[in-house]
Amino acid sequence: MNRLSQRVSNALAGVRCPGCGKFVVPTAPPTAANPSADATAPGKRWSFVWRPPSGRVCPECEFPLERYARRLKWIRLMVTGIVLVTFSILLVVMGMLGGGRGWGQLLQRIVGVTGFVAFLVGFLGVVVGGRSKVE
Amino acid sequence: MALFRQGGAGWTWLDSRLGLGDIQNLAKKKDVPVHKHTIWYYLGGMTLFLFMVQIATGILLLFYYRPTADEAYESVQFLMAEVQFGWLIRSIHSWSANLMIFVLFLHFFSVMFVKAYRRPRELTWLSGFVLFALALAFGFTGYLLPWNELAYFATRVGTEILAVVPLIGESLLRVARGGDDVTGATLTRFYAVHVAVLPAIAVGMLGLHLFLVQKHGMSVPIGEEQRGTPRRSMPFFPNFFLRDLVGWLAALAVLAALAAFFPAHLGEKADSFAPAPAGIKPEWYFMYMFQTLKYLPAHILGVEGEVVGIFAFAIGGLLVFLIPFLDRPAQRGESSRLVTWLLIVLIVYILVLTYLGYTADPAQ
Repeated sequence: MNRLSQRVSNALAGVRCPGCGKFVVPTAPPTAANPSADATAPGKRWSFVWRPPSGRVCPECEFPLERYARRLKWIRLMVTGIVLVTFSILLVVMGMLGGGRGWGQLLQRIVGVTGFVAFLVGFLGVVVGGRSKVE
Repeated sequence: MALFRQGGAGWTWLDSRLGLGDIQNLAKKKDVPVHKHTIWYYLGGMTLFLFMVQIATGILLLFYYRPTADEAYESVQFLMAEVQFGWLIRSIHSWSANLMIFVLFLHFFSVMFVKAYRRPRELTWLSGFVLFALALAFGFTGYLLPWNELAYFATRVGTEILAVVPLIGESLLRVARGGDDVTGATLTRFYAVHVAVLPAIAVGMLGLHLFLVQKHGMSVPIGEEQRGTPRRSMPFFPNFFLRDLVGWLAALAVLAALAAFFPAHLGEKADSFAPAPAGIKPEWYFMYMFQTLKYLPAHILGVEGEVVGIFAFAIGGLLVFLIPFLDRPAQRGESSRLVTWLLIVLIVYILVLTYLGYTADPAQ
């Protein structure tokens, strides 16, 4: 059970790193006291143009994942809402053009309401869950 | 809002300066033929919509992107990791580019199938073909900009094709790369071409294409013309336009889903001293050409196989470009089965070679 719960928790906390493409759980960045194993390897250490990366990084390639991982799931939920609402609008249009009623109308309402709720929850998640922590 | 209703003070003020009444009359007059192939009329508008998404997201990316070998990769990384929604904007830019080219392919083939290049629409076809070529050039130049390993080596292979042009090939290659190899100079050139040269030409060409579409209206397929029954049509405003908007909304939803669930990756930074990684592949829309060149023998009739292949593609492209002048039966209003069959063979060829490009053993 422990293994299963660990897997679920990793799946929820994990993210596919846009740097190396691996599915990872973001970890604390290397510090002077705890440097990266291959900190001197060329192309491995990120040299940011404006400011150093902050927060958690990919354990494999040290790609900064703090902001990326924090909002990703909420944005996905919001986009799912957009897709469902669009599908519901398409059903409405098809119904209008075809003059159909019945199960199509019911499906359109269910999809529309589900989509709207998903969009709303996702949007709130992006706004509230994506705020930067006070440093 | 009564101010801007027809006859209101705002409307009258604008009408006397912009001629709104004339535009309104034009919009009222414009209609779209209705028949079993009407669905294909929506592809042009959808391409235009995706091009507008490209412009909007491209401008946002420009705020952070730095076109030098030292900073390009880092600036994209900064954009993806630190800028609010930066990764999403980049993903939308990348996916809308792919979708735009996909829809453009569909638009291109649908126009060819219904022989919409017939008189008097030859110039519409030619301007559309140039826009298609420009879209591919946008894709090729944009691919290098993140300055990652895959893009670096794919661009090296892609630009080498220029060298096979007789007499001026080597010079062309040096001009394209800004030197003998793909370096920071190449990146700067590709950037300039991607954000300044190509958009300027594309906007001009797009203006001409849209003007010609407005002037000649939508083409009716030969079969529908020959049927001789009274032609049905619908007003462009609002009937067709609203349907177009629904299509755009669907495209936007697909785009958002792709960008959010399959975000664009960045990969490793380009290193010119590193060996080329295994399985270097071009973008999917160049894959059939890439795979064809791989299958050609080293020499064909004493000429390098690759050179023969590239010239065959160039001649094929030229024939398609000139098809309004070569397809005589279509110009006479007769159905041209040969062109239709050649088109089917071309589509099957592109699909099969693209499939092989992704599935065949790279060592072969």
